[in-house]
Amino acid sequence: MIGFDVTGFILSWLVFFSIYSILSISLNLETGLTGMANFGKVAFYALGAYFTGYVSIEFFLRLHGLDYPIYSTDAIVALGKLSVEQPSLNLSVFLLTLVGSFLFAGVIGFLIMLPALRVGPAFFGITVLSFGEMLRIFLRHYKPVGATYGLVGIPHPLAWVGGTFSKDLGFALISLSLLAITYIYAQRITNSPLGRLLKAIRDDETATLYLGKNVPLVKGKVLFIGSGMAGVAGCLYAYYLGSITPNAFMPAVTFEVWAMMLLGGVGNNRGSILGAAIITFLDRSTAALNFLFPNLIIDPNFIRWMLVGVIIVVVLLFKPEGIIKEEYVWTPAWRLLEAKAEARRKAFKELIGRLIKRR
Amino acid sequence: MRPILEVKGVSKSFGGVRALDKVSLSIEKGSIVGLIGPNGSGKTTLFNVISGFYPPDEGEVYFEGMRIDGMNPNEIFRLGLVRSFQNPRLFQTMSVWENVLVVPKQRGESPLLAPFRSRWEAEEMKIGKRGKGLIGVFGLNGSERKRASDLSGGQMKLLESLRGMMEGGKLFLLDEPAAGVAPRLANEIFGFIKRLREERGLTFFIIEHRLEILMNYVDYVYVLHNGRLLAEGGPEEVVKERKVIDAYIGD
Repeated sequence: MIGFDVTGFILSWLVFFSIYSILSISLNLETGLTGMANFGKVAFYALGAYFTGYVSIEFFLRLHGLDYPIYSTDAIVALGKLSVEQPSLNLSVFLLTLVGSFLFAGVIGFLIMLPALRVGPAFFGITVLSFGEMLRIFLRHYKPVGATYGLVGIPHPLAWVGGTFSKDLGFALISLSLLAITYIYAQRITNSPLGRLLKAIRDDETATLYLGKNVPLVKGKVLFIGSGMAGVAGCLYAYYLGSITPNAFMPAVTFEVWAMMLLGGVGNNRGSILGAAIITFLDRSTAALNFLFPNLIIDPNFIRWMLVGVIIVVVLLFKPEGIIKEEYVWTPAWRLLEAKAEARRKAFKELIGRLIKRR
Repeated sequence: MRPILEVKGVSKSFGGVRALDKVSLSIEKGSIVGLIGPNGSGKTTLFNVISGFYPPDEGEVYFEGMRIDGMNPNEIFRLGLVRSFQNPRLFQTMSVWENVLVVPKQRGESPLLAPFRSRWEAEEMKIGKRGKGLIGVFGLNGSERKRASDLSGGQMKLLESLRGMMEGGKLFLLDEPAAGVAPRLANEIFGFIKRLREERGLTFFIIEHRLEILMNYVDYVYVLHNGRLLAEGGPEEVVKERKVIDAYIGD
């Protein structure tokens, strides 16, 4: 048996955990809170990844005056050399693509709302599901982004750091901090008037419209943010693996994210993160199994797809609210109710105190 | 003074069915007006057209002198025209308190401002205070933490009307506010409506099936039959009219 790299395993899990947590938080925002069944999450993940891959490769090659085709061996060799030369270039391209993939995926997410509005809420899921598949098939056949080969040699933002360990650790920290930003943002808007409005749309869209809310616009904004978050996850994924292919963005990815959200608990962000932690751990473990026992009859990679299916069914049957239950939207206005209970408690204490004194 | 609501020659068809046929009516500010008619006579369709759920095929609707047909429901609500539904449409998974707070438009609903509590806290507290007051008026104290789906049928109706009043409603279209409620409670609800009219000068346009209850509270009644306005007038006159009785009992 070959030695098993425990730190490598943990670091790789941390990166995947961050990427998938961002995805499940964004899905929870759109589906868990707003009630739009987004079966096309993977499309925006792919858009972020492809934007990052394409822009960073083009940037590195064209800036150095090289005009190799994007998937040629020359280009890959050149990228390998260039990416260790100028740390500041690596980092600024990273920032550029990070913001860019948020905006790119976000704008397309917003625009998806326009056709989806016409087909009505029930068909929204089908519309985005087919959009995701169409995008994947388009990418498979579109030469400028490498068609079936995909994009190879995406310059890692920390490629200039010596040593695999510090490079991986650095990237894990970047991913975790992006997850932290996403989580804090999602958590804050969940417990705000906006979060309340989103839940109202989920519970009864027509009634919300009759209470003066511009429901389509709110949904569009949510899709912008949710898709942008998925774009950021795609950006991290592209840099982490260094190469992306269209087949990494199968619809199954969407359902894996759905399983995370359902397992952790619909409508709460902590649950989304917990679900992502559990499922990415299973995922990384099966990948490790594959490495440790190469001669198993079943490829352990397929076990995870079975697990995802089983988890979805079991959770929906026995614990439809998930591990962590959804809570009411907490805003400072709740204190107005507490103030009254507080006053009553105080009055009661005073009364008791007076009775005791009288004795 | 111009009436608060004017409906002029409104028609609406669904396929071959003419649900509304050149209906015209007007409602004075501060009045309680009933809308009656047998099942399928077009009462709810009329409400849907007035509140903007669908545009009329022909005709015009004016609210406070402003033409509102063709506007979206959310825009019409902002003008002060509130409607309730036959089956209360509450936000079922949310608490009573959130159901109340969600109504007013506020800055904290913007995705850019929502994460920063200090930017919307003052506005939220103001809304909370108004909500607390109205909860008292509607007698829902102590139920704030309950899930809306756990309320009784009558309380749900009350909560729905309360929601409508959270943001400056002037005219209320109530679709059977006392449906499925015991007669005693139904009288209470109508008494409450009357009190709101007197204390706050609000206007009500009410669909109700139980004429014996409605007649005690309304100033004026419109009768719809097969999409046409069959009769109108004070409650006593209308129920005596031969054609109204015929429409209800059948020829």
